[in-house]
Amino acid sequence: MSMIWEVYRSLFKKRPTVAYPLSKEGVPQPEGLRGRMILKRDVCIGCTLCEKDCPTAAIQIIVDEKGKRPIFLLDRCMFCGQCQQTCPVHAIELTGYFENAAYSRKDMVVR
Amino acid sequence: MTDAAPSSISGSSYERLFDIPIGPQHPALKEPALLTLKVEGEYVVGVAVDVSYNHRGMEKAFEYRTYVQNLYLAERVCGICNVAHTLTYCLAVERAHDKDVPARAVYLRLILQELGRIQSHIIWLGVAAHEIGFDTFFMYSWLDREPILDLIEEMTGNRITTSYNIIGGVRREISDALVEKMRRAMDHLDERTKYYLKLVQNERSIRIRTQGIGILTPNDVISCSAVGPTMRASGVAADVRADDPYSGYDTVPFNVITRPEGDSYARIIARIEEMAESAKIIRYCLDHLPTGPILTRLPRRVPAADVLIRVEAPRGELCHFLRSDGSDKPYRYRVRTPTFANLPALARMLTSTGGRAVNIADVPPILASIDPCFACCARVEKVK
Repeated sequence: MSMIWEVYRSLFKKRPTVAYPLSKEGVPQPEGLRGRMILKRDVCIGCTLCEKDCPTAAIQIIVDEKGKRPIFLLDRCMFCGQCQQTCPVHAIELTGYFENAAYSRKDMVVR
Repeated sequence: MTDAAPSSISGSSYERLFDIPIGPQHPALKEPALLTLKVEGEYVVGVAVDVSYNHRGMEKAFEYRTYVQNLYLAERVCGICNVAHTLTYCLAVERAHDKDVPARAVYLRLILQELGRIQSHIIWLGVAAHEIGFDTFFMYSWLDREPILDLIEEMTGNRITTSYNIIGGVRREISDALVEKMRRAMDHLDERTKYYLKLVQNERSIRIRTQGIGILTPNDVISCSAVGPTMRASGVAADVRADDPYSGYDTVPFNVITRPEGDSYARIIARIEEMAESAKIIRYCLDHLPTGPILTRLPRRVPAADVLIRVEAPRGELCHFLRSDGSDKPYRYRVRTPTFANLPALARMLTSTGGRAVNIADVPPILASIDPCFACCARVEKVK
């Protein structure tokens, strides 16, 4: 019986849901949310420790004009942040960008 | 609910006992599990539990990954108690190294552990209400879970798979603004737990379906080795946090919540009171948070050791066993989850005896009252 008063009162309270795809207002996006990563290319030294520590093999090492560097496969990544933790020069950073769905696998590679 | 079980029907070709399966796919179950009930009329006289449907081969997978990668595998043994699993894993590896983590990291781990316990108990409260059919309570209690998840997200970066405990300490610092937010959220949680207690005690639909149902006597608890709130709601006061303190629990004052009745109603009350106790622990930790570093670097190769760590996960006592051999991959890792330990107690609760009868309609509330997490407990595979 006591629940019915709570239900009645909630008619007059602010709605707890947010209209997400239509507007981002009210979606909690705290600082430090683990989303898509970025690589600071000028800081990366090519040590390949991130590839060894990635739990899902989402990091592959390629060679570009400066030397070895990682590319990130977002379809394997689970956004755990271990690469950010392992990198000795802090070249990898997980931003708060969480809208990573894409129509093709090519868009799921972060270079 | 003290009808005697029916006497046998003699002199007819009527089959007395039927096997009724609940599961593996069933609307009342959140995860696949097969409960084959032996039923006589409307009374359940026996049950065979098969939990092998969620077997993922995790213990073998642990042996092929390095310790750094295994942290994330341990986290995904169970989504709801992921903090307990990562904490146990980190404690196991740190014990194998025989090193301690800094004091600030110990308290930060404690805060997250208790936040995880609160959100797990709220999940459970909603799911138990759903099993009884009280979906309004389910929705409203999960609404109160959102502030806790928002706190966890701000503290660790993600709502569920937190990846906060790492080998050697914790990953991130906690800001003063977040400490203030946590204090306010704990005040809000205190009002809500008082409301839930009042609601559960006054709401007749909950009391009819849970009082006197699924009785587990203290002797049953000892003989079936039940763990967690299932055990404590039958009057047995044992809690790994108090008996075998780990990670700072010996410095924090808290009460071990027990209830004397031993039925499903007592388990509901015990878990709500545990939520209030966790809020007190979090407040104490926020007031006494030490300063200092949050991480000690540990080498990647772990010295050879056999380590067994017990932790009080939200569902009960969780054990991880690690055998390391000096390389950077574990030789053997074994996980014994609390739901697995509660399965014999579940079978005992679901059996009608002379003094109490278990109807088929009582089975979902009894199953929900042990807080089952079958994903955690599928370590064995039944070979037919």
